[in-house]
Formats: sequence, C-alpha cells, structure tokens
Amino acid sequence: MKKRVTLAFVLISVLVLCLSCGGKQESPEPTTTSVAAPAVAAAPAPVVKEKTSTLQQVKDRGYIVVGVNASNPGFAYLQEDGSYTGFEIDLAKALSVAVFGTPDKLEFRPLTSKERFIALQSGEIDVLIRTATINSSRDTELGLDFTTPYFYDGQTFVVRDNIGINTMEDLEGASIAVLTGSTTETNLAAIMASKQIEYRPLTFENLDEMKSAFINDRVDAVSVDKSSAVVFLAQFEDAGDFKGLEETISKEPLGIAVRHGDSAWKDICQWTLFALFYGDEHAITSANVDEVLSTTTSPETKNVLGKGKEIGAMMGLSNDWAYQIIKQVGNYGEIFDRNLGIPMKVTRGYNKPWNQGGLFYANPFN
Amino acid sequence: MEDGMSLTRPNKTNIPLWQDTHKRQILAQFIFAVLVIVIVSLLYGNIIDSLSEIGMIPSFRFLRMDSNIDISESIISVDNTSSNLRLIVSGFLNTISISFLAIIFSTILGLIIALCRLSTNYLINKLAVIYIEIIRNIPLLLLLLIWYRAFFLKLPGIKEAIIFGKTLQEGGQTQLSFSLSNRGISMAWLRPSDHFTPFLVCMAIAFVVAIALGIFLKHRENHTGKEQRIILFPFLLFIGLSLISYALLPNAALQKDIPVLGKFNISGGLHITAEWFSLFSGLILYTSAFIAEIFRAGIQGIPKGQIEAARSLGLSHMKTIRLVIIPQAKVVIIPPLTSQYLGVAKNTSLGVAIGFPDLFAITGTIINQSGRALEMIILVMAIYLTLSLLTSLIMNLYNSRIQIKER
Amino acid sequence: MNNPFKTPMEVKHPLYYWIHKNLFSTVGNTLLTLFSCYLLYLLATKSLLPLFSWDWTVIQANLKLILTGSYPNEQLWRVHLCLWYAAFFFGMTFRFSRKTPPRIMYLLGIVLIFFASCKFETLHRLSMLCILFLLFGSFFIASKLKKERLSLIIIFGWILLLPFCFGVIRGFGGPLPIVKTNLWGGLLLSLLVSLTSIFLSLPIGLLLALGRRSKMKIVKSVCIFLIELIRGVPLITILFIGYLILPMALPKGWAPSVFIRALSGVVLFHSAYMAEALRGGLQGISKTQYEAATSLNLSPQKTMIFIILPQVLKRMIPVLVNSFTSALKDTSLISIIGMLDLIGISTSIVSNPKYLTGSAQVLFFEGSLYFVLCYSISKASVVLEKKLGVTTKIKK
Repeated sequence: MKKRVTLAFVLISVLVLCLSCGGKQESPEPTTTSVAAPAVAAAPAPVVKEKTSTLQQVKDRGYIVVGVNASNPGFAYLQEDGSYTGFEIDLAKALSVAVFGTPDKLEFRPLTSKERFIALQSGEIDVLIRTATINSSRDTELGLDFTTPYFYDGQTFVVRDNIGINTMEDLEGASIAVLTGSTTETNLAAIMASKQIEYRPLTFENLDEMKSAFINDRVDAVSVDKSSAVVFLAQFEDAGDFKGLEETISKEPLGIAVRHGDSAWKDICQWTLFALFYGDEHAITSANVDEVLSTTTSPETKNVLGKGKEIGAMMGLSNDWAYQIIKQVGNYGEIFDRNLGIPMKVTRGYNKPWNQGGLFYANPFN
Repeated sequence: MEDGMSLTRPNKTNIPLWQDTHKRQILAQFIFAVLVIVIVSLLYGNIIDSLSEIGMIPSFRFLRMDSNIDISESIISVDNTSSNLRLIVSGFLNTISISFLAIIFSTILGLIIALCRLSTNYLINKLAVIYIEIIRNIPLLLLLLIWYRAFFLKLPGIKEAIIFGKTLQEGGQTQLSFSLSNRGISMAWLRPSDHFTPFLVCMAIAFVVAIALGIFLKHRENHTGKEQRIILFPFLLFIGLSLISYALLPNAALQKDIPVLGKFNISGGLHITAEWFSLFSGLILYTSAFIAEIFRAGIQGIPKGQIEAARSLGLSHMKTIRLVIIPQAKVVIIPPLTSQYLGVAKNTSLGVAIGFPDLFAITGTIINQSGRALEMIILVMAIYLTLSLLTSLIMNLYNSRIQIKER
Repeated sequence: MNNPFKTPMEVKHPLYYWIHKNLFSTVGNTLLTLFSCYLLYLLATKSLLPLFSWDWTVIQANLKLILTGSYPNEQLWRVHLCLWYAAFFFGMTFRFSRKTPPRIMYLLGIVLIFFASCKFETLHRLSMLCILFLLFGSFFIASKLKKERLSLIIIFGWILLLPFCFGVIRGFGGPLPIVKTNLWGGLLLSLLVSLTSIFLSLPIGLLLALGRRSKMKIVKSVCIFLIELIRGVPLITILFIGYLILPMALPKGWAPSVFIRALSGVVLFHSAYMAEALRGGLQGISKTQYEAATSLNLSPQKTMIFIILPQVLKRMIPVLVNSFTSALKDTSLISIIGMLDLIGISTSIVSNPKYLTGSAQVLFFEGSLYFVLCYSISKASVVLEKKLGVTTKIKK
C-alpha cells in the first residue's frame, strides 16, 4: 500500500513538473500542417527543407516574439513594473498593430549583443529590433535580411571638454572604451589602424559599465554611436564637462533584422516602417489621423489609411493596418520625440523625412 | 562418475541465458553503447542540419582570418590584423598568467587567514571569521562587480595618480618609478636587452645542471634512505648559477624599462591594468576564504595527542609544526585544495564581466564577429579541459607522494 | 594546555581577565589587537558609515523587479502561495526535531512582522502575516500528529515543493493563467533555478556515480568521460553551449525556452559535482555491508536500493544543503547569457533613466540578499549535521 502511494506521488509530481516547464509550449512552434509538410518534403530530399513562413507562425501563435535590449536607455529598457518601454519597443508595438490590430501581442526576449543574431538564426525570435547595424557581412554571411534603416546613426567619440581634444588625432595614446560584439568595436580598430593612431582599447559588456569607467576617468574617451552619445551625455549631471566629437567615423544605419528567405514577413516589417515614415512626411499624427482620413483627397494617403487600394490584403494584413498604427502608436516623429527627443534630448539629425532635410523616404503606397 | 554427488564445478551451459549475469552484462553494455551512439549522432546531425539551413558549414578556416578587433591587453602582440587563432592564444596566455599567479597568492593569503582564524586573539579571530563568512556567502560574480566598480574605479584617475620617483629628463619626458591610478599600476621593470641570448643559454645550462643534481640526490635518497632536499637544492643551484652567469657576462642581459608619462597614459615599464589586477585580487580574496577553511579543517583535524606527544619528546614549537603537524595536515588538505585550484582556473572566465580579455571573453567576441559558435565552443572546451586535467594530474602526483603509507 | 581551574583573578574580575587573556596576553597579541582596532575603524568609516548617506530610493522603487522580475503584478499572489506552502512545511519540519519552537522561528516571526508593517501593498503585508500564522500554526498542528505520520508528510511535502511551485508559478490556464518563463526574473528566478538544479542533479548524479562504480567497462568509461568533461570546464562554457547549441541539437519542434536551456546547463553542471560527492559517499560504505547483504540473499539491485542508498543519502543531506548554497551562487552566472536573474536585473534597473546612478546600491542590496540566504542555509546545514550525527569533518 505504501509503495503504491509513493509511486503515485512520484508519478504525479513528475507529471506536474513536466507539464509546468515543458519546453514545447514556450516558444515559436510550427503549426500541425506545417510540421507535416517539411516532414514529407524532408524525407525524400533532406537537403531542401520547406520552411514555414514566419508570418504564418506568428499568426497561428497569436503574438510576435521580438528580440530586444533590456538595458539601452531611450531605446529599450525595463520600467519599475517590469514592462518594456522605449523607441525600439514602440516600433515592435507598431508591428504588433500591423499584424494583430493591438499593440500588446508581443513577447520580448532580452538579448545580449552576443546572442542577438544567433537567436534570430535559430528561430527563437521572429524579428530583431536591437540596434543592429546593417552591413554587408551581416546581410550575407550571417543569413539575415534587413529592412531599410529606422535610425541613421554614426559612430563618434565622447570626451571630456576643455582638455584639448577636438579631432581623432588628438586621441593618440589614449584609453578608449567600446562595447564588445558590436560594429563599433571593429570600426574603431579599423579606423585607428588606418590612420596609424595608437590607442588603448577597453571593451565592456554593457553601457552601464562603460559609463562607470568613463565617469571615473578610467578611460579618456568612449566610442559610441551618436545617439548613444547623446543619451550618455544626458545621464551626467554636469553634462557641460563632456562633449561629443564632431567627426563621424562610420555610418551606422540601424535596421530591423529578419531571417533570410522570409519575404512575406520582411515585407510587413518594411512597410510598417514606411507607414511610419509616411505619417511623418505628411504630418499625419495620432491626433489628426481621423480628420485626415475623412478629408484627404490624395490617392496615396487614401491607400495608406485603408480607403483606397487594398494594400494590407496584399500582405496578409487588414486594410486599415497603417491607420491603426498611426492612431495607436503614432508616426515616426511622435515615437522619436516620445522616447528620445524629449526625455533624452536627442536631435533628429538625419532621422527626418526627406522633405524636411533628412534621409527617410517612404516608397510609394500604390 | 555419474552419481548425484559430483563435486566438480557445475556445467556452465546449464545456466539459462537470461540468468547468466556475465552474459547479461555484456548485453546491457552493448545496448548502452548503441544507445549512446544513436543519441550522439542524432544530436550532431541536428546541429549540422540547422547550421546548413542558414548557410553555415562547420569549419575551422575562420581561425586564419583577420579578427578586425583590438583587445585591451595581451602578453603577445596583437592588433586588428592578427588572426583569430592568435587572438585565442593571447586569451589563453592571459588566462594562464592570472590563474597561475592567483593560485600561488591565494594559497599564501589563505594560510595567513587560517592562522588568524586559529589565533587566540579574540579580535583577530573574529575579524577572520567575518571575512570568511562574508566572502563564502556571496557569488564570485557579484564580488568581482562590487570590487571592480566600488573599489578600483574609485581609485584616483590618471591625472591625480599616486606617483613615486618622478624625474624630469632632458628631452622633456617625465619618468617615474611607480604609479597607481584607476587605470592600473606602472612600475620600473627590467626587460631583455639585445644581449639576452647568451644569458638564456647560460640559464638553460644551469637548468640542466640542476636537474642532474636532482637526479643525483634522488639516487642518494634511494640508496641511503635519508630524505634529501630533492627540490630545494637544485632550485637554489639553478638560481645561484643564473645569478653568477648574469654577473659574469660582459654585456648586460637585462635593461631598465622606465615608465614615461604621456599625454593620456603612462607607457613603458611593467603595466598592470586595473582589470587584470581587480580580477586577480578578486580571485585571491574569494579563493583564500575557501582555502583558509580547508587549512583550518586540516590543522584542527590533527588529534591533540600528537601535539602533546611531540611536546613530551622535547620538540620546539617550530619543529612540532614542521615535522608533526604539517605532514599530517598535508594529507588531508591536498585533495580539497586541488579542487579549489581547478576552480581558480575556471573562475578566470568571469573576467568577461569586468572587461578583462581572458579566454572566454575572447571566445564570446569571436563568436559574435564571425558567427562560428559551434567550432569556437568545441575549441574552448578542449582548452579548458586540458588545463584542468593538467592541473589535477600535477596535484595528484604530489598527493600520492605525500600520502602516509599505512600498513 | 587549557587549565580547568580558574585563577583567583579570573574569579574575582572575569571581564578584566578575559580581556587580558584574549587581547593583551603577550606583546605580539597587544600589537595585533591594536592593528585590528585600526582595521575596524577604517572599515567603519570607509564602508559602513557611507552606507547611511546613500540614496536608497532605487531599491524601494524597484523592489518588485529585484524580487520577481517582470512577473505580472496581478498574479503575484501565486508567488505568495508558494511561500505559504514553504512556510507550512518549514513549521512542520521544525516541530519534527524539537518540542518548542527554535529561536530561528521567533527571529523569522519578528522579521515578518517588521515587513508587514512596512509600506508595501496590502496584499504583500497580509501575506507576511499569513506566513507567520502558517509557520506557527503548522508547528502546532505537527505536535498533534504521530511521529511516523509527521515524517511521511514532511518528506512528501518537501519532495512536492518544486512541482508545486512550478505548477503554480507557471500555471496551466483556467484560474492560473500561464505566465511564461521569460517573465520570471530576479530572486524568484534564481531560487527556482538553483532549487531545481539541486533536486534534479541528485538522481542524475546518482546514476552517474553508480555508472562510474560499475564493473561494465563501457558504462564506466562513458560515465567517467562525462563527469570529467563537465567538471573540467567552467560553468559559463556549459551555459553557453546550452544557450547556443541546444536549440540546434534538438529536433525542430522542440525549441526550448531560454529558461530550459539555462536550467539544463546548470543541472548538468551540478550533476557532475553531485556524482563526485556521491562517489565519495558510496566509497565510505564499508564492504561488510555488501557482504552482510549477500549473506542475506539480497540481489545486487536490492542491496543497493535497501541497504546502501539509504545510508549514503542520509550522509548526503548536509552535502545537499551545502550544495544548495553553491548552486544559488553559481546560478548568478546565468546573467551572462542574458537571463534577468538577480544580477541580470540590476543592469536593467540602472538603465532606467530615473535610476542611472543606483548601481552601487543595487549591487550592495543584492549582496546582502545573497549573504543572508547563503549564510542561513550553511548554518542550517551545520545544525543538520549535528542532528543526523554525520559529519564531513575528520573525527578522531
């Protein structure tokens, strides 16, 4: 009798343990139909595997798994109640509105810079919105595809003011801090080598440690993207003692990354961005989008907001997807101001529509 | 004889197959081996499939490609055109240099703290207890982070560095003999000059002579039964011969390397970065607490009767310690000490958290830049495994040497 | 050596005698005393006093993040449920060993009352009082039960602790909606990972240890290879393997969450260490036990299960409790693969623009948390060792 009771207890607890943390329910899972298809296709021809489109997976699952940074002030970070907020988080929300109509069908995966691409490659996340610079090797060798940039950044240095550093050459022999695993690291090495400037590098895992090192004068300069430089400077009480150098070492266009060969999904990410740009170009904000919808005569605006051609249906979305995005999340300018412009005092720089002197150009919606 | 009372062995073929333990074991092993092979090949096959899906085929060719990054400190020279392999070697050397020195110093510090812990002075005793308890109960990662951020980074900056021996040379250079700042320590040091090779040759000769002496002493020990200083005398001979050859050589084999104050940093001399030193000291602090407890357990485990007997034989305090306590304590201390030493080598991998480019940090960087996760991990595991096995081999040799042979 | 007779001085002025003997007995001793007084003074002024001048709002505001990560606020009652379960069985366990509540229970009671009076949400304060009530209540209930029944209930209670916690905290729909593991964080995550790794590493380590002692060559060599491989590499490397390679190695439909990957790395690591500890324990069983069992006609399997393992496991309990401490500390490394455990969440907290300068406070707070937890566990293991009559120290 005792044995049976023991056995029953053990079985029940093992069952509960398995149910509770069974990996199957956790993460992106292909649907039953798509499991059958690759299995059938795989058996005779193991080389060519038919992949389920990410869009189908996302729709079946009911939410998008987004890879983000959990500790990048302004772009993506955690609030006290545990929710994510920031510029890139708002972009993810726009994506969620595009696919599902509400901004909360999201699951965020915090990733370090080491794992961000591997997480995307392995299928753990659907899309990566984590300050990923677009460059040729990432686009080709790593098996990723990028959208147009959602942020034009450049790499520069932050130094202390009035100690006579005005150009890169003044940094000869200095200690310079840089984030590991990023393009900033390789760019810094390359440009210093090409200009034959000797320097002492120091790599850090995250911004916070770099900030400590810089404040305590462990390093003379910090090499970061211009946007991070502004955020960096905003964090110091006596910001007047620091400045960013004028020079830009490299182009750092940040884009949304998806996997190779995932065209439908990439189209959605791409045109979500274009919708945001469009709103910015034509001054359609969350406040006035209803009014614009009822009064506009431009055929393109009608297409965008869902009254003209059925653009949304072509991508597998509802037709008012762009309208919902602008209404619920805002246009690019609103997102920028909300997260970077007002709290962090980041200037738009090149991150403006082409008709305002910037580099954003929404491709035509027709 | 065919009566039923045969006293010979029972016929082996009478045992049915399923009751024969021997056969059952062979069958079980066979099934087990098949299972292991099947599982391993399945896993490996899956990995290769996943990698080829995204277009990456495992190969080690990336080791020869340029790394494109600079690292903050290295014993061998690296720059951004060095191959990935060279970078890995540099990381490996960093790891080894820190582990080796950390093992030595943490043993010394551990011994001191163990002595404090055994002291009769109440304050010293309790201070040691507080130290040990605090260090043993927080994770090493947290200790390193606090130690680096709250202590090292708060040292004076380079402009307010603590400097000794500052002199102004004719060329306008400022030389100094020692400086301490939150960037690290720089001190005047010696380095090989152009005439180092003859000295190296002399040192090699001295080494061979010392080994010969060691062999001779061991021979004598085996013959006469008297214990000889097999390690100490050859070591002293080696040092002595090297010093003599250094003095007698016409050209100085070593030259002075004096730190020079530059615009931003101090160059020249022996430079120990703050990251190296904070990892080093953090490891020492952490490991010494555990080693102190090991020493204490070993020393307190010796029965009081031994000490009383030694006293009754008229042995002085120092002789008691040297001849009675230490040999017995050694037997008990060495095995846990071995595992602590292995832990030191593995704990250096936490340097990644404070910006020290040890082997693991460099692995992470290379994985990131090249995407070759599988290959790098296999390589790194092999390196750490070799290191661990070597260390435990050496320690086990020593262990078997000092075992008290009991009847 | 130690004089059992007291000198007249000691009898008349015990305090003076004590000070003289322990602090100022010889010149060397006096110097040491002065030196340590100076050290204490330095510590107090440089480390302790500045603590009071620090700004602790970052801790107050982010306490929920530190303790439970991104766990949804309205589901926090489930975490409390687990605490109640643990409190209930803690009370019973205390009663098992002694007739009156030990001092530690009173200490816990005071701490709980203190927390209940702090300015937290009502739910948390009520929960503190519930824990207090359950702790003493179960102590009382346990005194009404027979010893055999009690021991059975306690054993099953502790074994089921982990499945219960997982079931409740993760949930499976209905009244307990599912809370995904990527929302777990902070102390909750650290505790769950370390507890699970200890629980799971015991059976796996046992299998490995038995395999290592087996006479079958292939099994033995495979086990030795596994154990030495896992023990020879740092935990970070194993975590990295779990993180990067595991999703590629498993079949397509099985994509494991980050939690599972980190957990498997930690479990594997601790299993190897547990295997070594168990091997030492198994070696400590004298041969006569095996011989007696054989003479009673017990098969090797029965010998192992009924004779050897109970003895080994009884000796292993202090080791197990100790390894919980080291598991808790080693689990801090999962922050390096991006999980938001106690240390990982500290980086996120100081990225919040409001609390950019709070890293020192957060690190110190977490250090104290770890210290309190690990110290009490190691003290508990010392008590356990005494209670069970087994000791890992050399007795002569």
